[in-house]
Amino acid sequence: MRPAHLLLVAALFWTPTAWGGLPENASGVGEHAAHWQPDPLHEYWDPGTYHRPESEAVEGVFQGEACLECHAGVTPGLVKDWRASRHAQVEPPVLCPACHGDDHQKLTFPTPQTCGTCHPQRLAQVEEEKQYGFPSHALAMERVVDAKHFADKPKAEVASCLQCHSVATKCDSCHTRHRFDPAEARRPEACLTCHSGPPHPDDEAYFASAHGRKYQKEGALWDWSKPLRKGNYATPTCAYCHMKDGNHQVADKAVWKFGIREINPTTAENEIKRKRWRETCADCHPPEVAPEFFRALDQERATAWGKLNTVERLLKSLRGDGLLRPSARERPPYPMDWMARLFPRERIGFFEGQASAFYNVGALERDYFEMWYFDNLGAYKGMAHGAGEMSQRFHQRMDAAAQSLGAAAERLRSKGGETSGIDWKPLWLEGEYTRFNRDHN
Amino acid sequence: MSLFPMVWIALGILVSPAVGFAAEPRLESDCLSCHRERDAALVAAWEKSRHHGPGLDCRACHGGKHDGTMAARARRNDACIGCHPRENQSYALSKHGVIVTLEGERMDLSLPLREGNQRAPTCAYCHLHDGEHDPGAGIFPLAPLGRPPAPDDDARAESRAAPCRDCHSPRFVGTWFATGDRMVEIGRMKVREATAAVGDREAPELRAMLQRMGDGPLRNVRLGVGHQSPDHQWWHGHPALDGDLLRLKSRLSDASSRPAGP
Repeated sequence: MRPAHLLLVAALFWTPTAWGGLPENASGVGEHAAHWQPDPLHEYWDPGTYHRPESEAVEGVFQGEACLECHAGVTPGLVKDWRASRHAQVEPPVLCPACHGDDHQKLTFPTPQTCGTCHPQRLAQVEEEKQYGFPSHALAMERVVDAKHFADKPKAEVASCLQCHSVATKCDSCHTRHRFDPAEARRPEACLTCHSGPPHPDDEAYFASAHGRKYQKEGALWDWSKPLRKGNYATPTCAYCHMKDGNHQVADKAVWKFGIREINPTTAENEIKRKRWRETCADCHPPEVAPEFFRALDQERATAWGKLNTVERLLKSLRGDGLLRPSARERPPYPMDWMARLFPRERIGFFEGQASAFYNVGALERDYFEMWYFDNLGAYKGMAHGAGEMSQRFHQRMDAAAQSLGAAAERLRSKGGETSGIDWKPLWLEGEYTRFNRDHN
Repeated sequence: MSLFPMVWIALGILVSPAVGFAAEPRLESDCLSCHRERDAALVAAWEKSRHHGPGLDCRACHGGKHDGTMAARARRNDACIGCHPRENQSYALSKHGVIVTLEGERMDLSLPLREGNQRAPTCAYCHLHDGEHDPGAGIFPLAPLGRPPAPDDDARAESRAAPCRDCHSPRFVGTWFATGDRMVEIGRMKVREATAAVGDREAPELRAMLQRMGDGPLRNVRLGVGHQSPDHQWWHGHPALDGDLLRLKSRLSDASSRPAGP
């Protein structure tokens, strides 16, 4: 590393709290709390846990009009946005102190609980969602901070995780501040900032479906002030199905659990969830359409898991024969995982925690991670949203990955794990990022 | 041979300058002959920018119709994304991009690009804030590109934060960029680790992998931070860099490995 780089790294990392806000000794939260410290940006994504009032700011206690007058000069955009909101038009208006407090030394950011003081039904729906477990909006922040890779990686690297997972801790992910317009949240685009990309290409799936194509053709002309009820929309959007009637919980129909793990679709609980889907689809379709759709989706899932389980067994057999390298002994363990230090073991598949094992692993494990986390989820998302061709395309990718992993396993077995003769230890344990990762949680 | 084509061409030559000059400036010099005087600072800024080059004149962004909507036209994202499709991918996924997708047609782009006059920023709001005509003068570049801290870094941090502060608190903006700079720097660490692992090996395949890391996921992280797209910071960025790094190491260490990853 050149001295110039050292200087740069020093400037960037040794004063992470230079902007005020979080104290330097702020600690983590959740299962691995003792092992990590938050990045200063964390304050904004989980204000209920981490927001600290700005101590150097203007002093005084202010009521609405005084706030607006000053902020029209300081941050004019948000004042204009608020003035166009329903909060400004109701009588009496919902002024700044209602959400932020009135003492400028003790201002707060609103949490879902803050919004719930006036919108108790919505808050209750969010709270109710927690009983369904993952995947979930309401539990998203717990989920992210408890992930092993979140606890392990430098917090500036994983700061973007918090941006999407803050859907649990703030209400403006979907109806953005300071307009908070329900009409915005009803549009599919409101979801795609988070519901896009390799493990959840919901945007690609929806826009490729007949529903999405109709929306793209006509949606701009519809009246989005109408509630998400039968007859109000010519085709469903994300929220129409997943938040029917504006119900602010998205989990009571979650049968297939994101496609991330194998489930039994016909348990009593899932039958109840399917009944809810049948009712939703029946807003527009004859009753026999939904069961037919479920049969096709169940079939697709069974096929996908057939492929995944075959490769998972293959990798586990390579592990059994000590052919997966670098082995768990030859690569950095998670800092909080003392069991793994005593009994190092490569993690294969959902139930062993491979969702976090996408770095510091060998190429074969990473290939399976991508087959499972990217290709399989693409296949699921496509099928579940009525984009059959997309699902087929991702199945072809799964087939290609399975074939290539099979061929790699054969080569490994025939050569008995012969290596290039390079020194493994510095390569896998001592690089610039690897060292930095080890020293920064 | 008919003489008609010749007649038409001759007519065209005679008529077009007269018609064109009244309604549609045909040449760059047509714009500048007036605007160099009327908007001297603006033209000077444009002339030192990367937008001043062959094939790029005022009409590239403002269109050719002198009808009072030329400023508003250049404030639309349509004016930029033809040349900047990759930048648009990360922007379009951000909350800013989503709001402009949904409400852009209702935004008043005849208003100047300042004071939060539009509900969410179009490309020009930040990169050409308040009538700036040199996109390199404002918030670009996001972070120092592989160089140690420089004396003008504070000024740069200040100027890149200006458009954001029209709507966001200075502390939030400062925190965002400080974390963003660190996030990009961690990405560079991964590329440097990979580069060091390859060392001075003459291996075109490994060199190509290094090149791809920089052009692909590392640039995505930077675009993701600049445009606030979580997907580009993360799924198209850091885990993708992790994958490239470990595949490169696997290539180096395993004699039986298959050709380098996808």
